[in-house]
Amino acid sequence: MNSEKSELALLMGNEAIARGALEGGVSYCTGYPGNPSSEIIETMFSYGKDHDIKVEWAVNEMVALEAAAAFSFSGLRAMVTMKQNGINVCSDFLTTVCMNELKGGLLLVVCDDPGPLTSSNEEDSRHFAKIAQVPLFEPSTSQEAKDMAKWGLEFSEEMGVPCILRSVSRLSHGRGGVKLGPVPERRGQPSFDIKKPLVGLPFLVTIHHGTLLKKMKRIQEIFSQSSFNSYHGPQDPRFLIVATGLGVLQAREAVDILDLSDKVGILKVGTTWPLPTDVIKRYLKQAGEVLFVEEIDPFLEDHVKVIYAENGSELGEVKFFGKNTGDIGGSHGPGVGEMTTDIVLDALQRIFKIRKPEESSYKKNVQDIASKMLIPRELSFCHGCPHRASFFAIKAALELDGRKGFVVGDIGCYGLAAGATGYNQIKMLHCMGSGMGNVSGFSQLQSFGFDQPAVAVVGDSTFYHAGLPALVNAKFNQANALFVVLDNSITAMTGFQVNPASPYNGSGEPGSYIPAEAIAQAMGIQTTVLDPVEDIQKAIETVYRNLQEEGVKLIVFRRVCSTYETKESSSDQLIKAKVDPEKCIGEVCGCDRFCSKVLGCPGILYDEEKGKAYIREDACNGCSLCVQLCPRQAISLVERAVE
Amino acid sequence: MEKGLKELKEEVLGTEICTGCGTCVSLCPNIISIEDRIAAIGDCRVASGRCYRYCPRTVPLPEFEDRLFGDVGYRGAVGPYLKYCMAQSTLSDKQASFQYGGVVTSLLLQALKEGLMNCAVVTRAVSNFPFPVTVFHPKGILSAGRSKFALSPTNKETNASVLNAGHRIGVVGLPCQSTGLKKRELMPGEDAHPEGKVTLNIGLFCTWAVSQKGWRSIVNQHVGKATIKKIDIPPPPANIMEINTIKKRIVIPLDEVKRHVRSACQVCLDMTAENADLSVGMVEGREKYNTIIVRTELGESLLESAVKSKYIKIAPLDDERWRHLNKASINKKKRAITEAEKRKGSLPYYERIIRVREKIEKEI
Repeated sequence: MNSEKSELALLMGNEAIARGALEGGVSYCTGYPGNPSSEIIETMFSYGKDHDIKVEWAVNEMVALEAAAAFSFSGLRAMVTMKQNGINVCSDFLTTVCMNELKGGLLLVVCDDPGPLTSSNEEDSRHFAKIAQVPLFEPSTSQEAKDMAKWGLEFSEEMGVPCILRSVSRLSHGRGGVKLGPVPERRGQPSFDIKKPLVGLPFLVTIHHGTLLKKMKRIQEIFSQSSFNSYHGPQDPRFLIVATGLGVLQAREAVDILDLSDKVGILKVGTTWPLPTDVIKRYLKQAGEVLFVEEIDPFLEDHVKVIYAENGSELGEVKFFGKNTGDIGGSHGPGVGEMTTDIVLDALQRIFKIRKPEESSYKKNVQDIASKMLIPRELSFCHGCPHRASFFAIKAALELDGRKGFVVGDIGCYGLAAGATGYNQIKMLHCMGSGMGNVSGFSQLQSFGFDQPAVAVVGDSTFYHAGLPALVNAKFNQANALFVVLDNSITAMTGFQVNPASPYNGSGEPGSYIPAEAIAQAMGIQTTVLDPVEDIQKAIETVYRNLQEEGVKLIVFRRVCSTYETKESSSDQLIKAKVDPEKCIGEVCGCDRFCSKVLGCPGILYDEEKGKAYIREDACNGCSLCVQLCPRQAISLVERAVE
Repeated sequence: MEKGLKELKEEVLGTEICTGCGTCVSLCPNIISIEDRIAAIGDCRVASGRCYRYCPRTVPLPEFEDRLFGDVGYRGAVGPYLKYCMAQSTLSDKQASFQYGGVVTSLLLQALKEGLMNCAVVTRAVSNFPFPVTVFHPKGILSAGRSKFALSPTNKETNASVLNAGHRIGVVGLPCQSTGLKKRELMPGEDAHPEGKVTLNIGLFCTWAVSQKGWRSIVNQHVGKATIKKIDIPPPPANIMEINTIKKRIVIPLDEVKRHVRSACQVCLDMTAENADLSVGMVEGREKYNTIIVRTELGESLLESAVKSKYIKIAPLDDERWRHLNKASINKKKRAITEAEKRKGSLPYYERIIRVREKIEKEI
């Protein structure tokens, strides 16, 4: 992109954040992939080479923030990205690093996933700004996302404190016009001042903490002048909507639809921590009724009420409508699920006792067309996914073991194994790496008479992210734990980001491969590595035998993600499975549609009329699992030329 | 009533009465096994399944009830027979390794020679663990001598071997496996595919077998990596198991071994493989001989031809030893019934075998 003239580009929120960082003179970008944040780093990779920016995928959010801090303390600007769960991981460092004066700007971008599409919680990351006492901004549009990212880096540097930019799924993934600005020249020589040690020793903490809080007071005053906070609506409105992030757009749309623009004013708050007290006070003074529109928790709502409580006598009587009062919320209740214009519309209609105009035929038409185009689909592993074989092996081994064993997992593609596609094997699932820690604990229950074996499954990326401490802990405390690394050599669910199980790192440099078994073997842990698809019987036996052994055991089921492999493949020949209808016995004793009914690969279907199984070639990657399991050897592999 | 996998799971599979014989394995992909552990992985909807029909622990179709013995029906202390005798292989110790008289090995060699079978399912020791294999040549038969004491799912291999059209198979199995084969023969069930056939059913006397898991712990503790040459349990009052490796003789208290006996064996009524063509076991006090109980005409003619071709020498079994064998067999039945009563399980198998007590008492 040409930085000389002001161009307009259509950018995804995440791309806009990356662009903002580029324009903000960032030197280092790192983060851990996680929906809805992943595209920021991916975009940064595309900028990296041309603009001399170091871009990395980190092994977890904690090390990402720690590494970024090194840039900051050496005088360069850095950005760290993550989803909401990630801020929990790096919070220990966040709440300590803010105690020291930064040299280069440090921006922490957190993308929340309200009404989760791909998360195991519905956490509002904004609370961490208050916990750490660092500034927080919430953009409403792609343009503002870019502007805030740029300004965030500058402001962080100016104030010497890390800043948090909070996005949400719709903003991160929605597209909007963005006016591009110039890209600054490379910054000066980094250096670390050894005369100014940055140490968080207890006797210094009170001094640093005091300094930080004073700084935040000053920031609060600066925010009261910020153009990220603005008001739209009638002068002297009786009814005020206080909104932030996408809530601003939802409020505007709802007010527009209900024709309330002459009665309702909207106060957009872009800097949500510390709140711009003066601005809030000014509008509360005019308003008699206030509605809050924001994503997930009543964060803005709570803190505006604190301002009101502190200034009640000068602000007069105000009635608040929000999540705490139950006045705004979707079908799951206030503070649960994603905020939408419909929810704002409902709230305003109840408050104003008016009825929404009839739904436009446009919306209905779109719904009709979309419902015809979309095929109902259950959550499923991709065709040819090696995890299908892994879970088949684990299920079979647990059945053979017969002690009512179970699988504990965590998040990632293989979390789907809690459903039919993974034979309902996962019985417990929380956060990154949690399964491994859980299983250490389950095994320690043995001395209390617990005799069910628990197996932890962990993806390759998660193994490095949060599994390693659990592995060490299990070994150190002599647990009887079986860990299974489902290694498909890529962080698949978030869009094929590389990790230490990949042959190269994010910059494409080889030699960064750290196989899980090498780590486990170094700890003296019994380790088996195999491809579960290549020989399913061997995979079943391996899990079974490991279940019978004492101590900590690690199995690495390794096979490249089938979707990634297909995407990257340049071969002009494809291997596909094929059913010989002569040999297929269908529903009679000896099979009962095992391939389509029990195995459940989306590539195998059953022709009810003919009573035979058949393969959908477009949904087959020739993995051979069904070939091995067919009791009549009716399935074989054939080569097909690429069309 | 026709029953399938659903009922097999309720009545046998995964319960303490599953013998691990392997009869339900390899018939379909829904049932899988490792060692002597068997489990169902899918929910099969076929109403009348061969898995249920063939299982030695399920109720047979009523029309076949009086043709099945051992665990299934009572017909005297040792089941029906045409005759019994003592026998010995004419092969020398150098040609093959035998537990006692080497009769099973010689009977198989004769069956192969005369074309009664063209292959045999036998149990071979692989790294000291029993493993069923199909063998096609005398050499293969010779490699499988001697008792293993840990259960091997022989009929899993039988079922896999039978899938090959043209296979005429002689199977050497424990009483539970012998019963499974008999049920398969009597009630084949629907299967549209070309198959081989089991043409000879040789049963081995069995008091109990240990689980493979138990066997592993015995081997790990007492044997280590050495190769076992022979395992034996000398007659009472020794109360030991003797394991001979190439280098040494290991003595293990029998009570320690018995801790690992499969719980299914403790409720088994069949010591002498009552559903076999021929049953073969030891002769008390005559280490170089076997007892043979001939039960079917096929078994009788095989024995005759083996004698005729001088593979086997036979001698009469004296009355005292025969009475003693009958008593031991009845005692196993009584022990099993007492155990079944003690377990108070709701499984139909228990109810069935408890009813056998009346028949035994009436006879005595």
